[in-house]
Amino acid sequence: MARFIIFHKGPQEVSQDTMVEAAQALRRSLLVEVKWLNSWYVPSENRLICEWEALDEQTVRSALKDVSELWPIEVVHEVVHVEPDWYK
Amino acid sequence: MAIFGSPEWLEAFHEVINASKSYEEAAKTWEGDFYFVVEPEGSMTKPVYYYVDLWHGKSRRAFVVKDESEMQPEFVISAPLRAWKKVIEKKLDPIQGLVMRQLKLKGNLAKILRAVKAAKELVNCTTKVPTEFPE
Repeated sequence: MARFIIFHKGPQEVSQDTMVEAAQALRRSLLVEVKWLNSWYVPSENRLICEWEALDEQTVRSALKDVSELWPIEVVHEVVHVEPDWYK
Repeated sequence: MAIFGSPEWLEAFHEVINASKSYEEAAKTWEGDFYFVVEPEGSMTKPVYYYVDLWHGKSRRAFVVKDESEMQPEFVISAPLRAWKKVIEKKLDPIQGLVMRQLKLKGNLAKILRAVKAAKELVNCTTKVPTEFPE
């Protein structure tokens, strides 16, 4: 599996219900070959940065199809994980 | 010591906000008023509506309303007493509480998300109010 960091542009206006229900629907729709690992919101830039594990970029883009209107994808980076514990 | 949910607690909170330089700096561009609704639990029998008008780093007005229709604030945040207790005791980050819907919000979530520093400083203000929670 490959890892991806995805930058999303945040909405200017959204209700809590819309956001939470979109996230719940996304989570329910995920297939085994794609995993949402975590997300970080950047208030100063109104961006969401998400880490994913997936077979390839197309798989993760397909998984995000239904939320791309709310959180449009700006860029997808394939990344290599580095673990701080390796440097103990 | 003021009981959370009482008018005295809100009065003390209003004074702490207006004395806080760090809140003033973090919220210098914020414009928006709130209902903070404490949903009843335990010995509480009815909800408490705290109205707080936050404007450019200050609390312009803060009072308890008897009837929800008295004011039409931009934001309404509602939660049971135990959730507010977690926020005030810093066991629940208010932004995470909103994103998880442990604190229910009516209003534009995106505007609040962008004001995360102000939200954290507002919570810091609550911790400076000597607080007793109803059983």
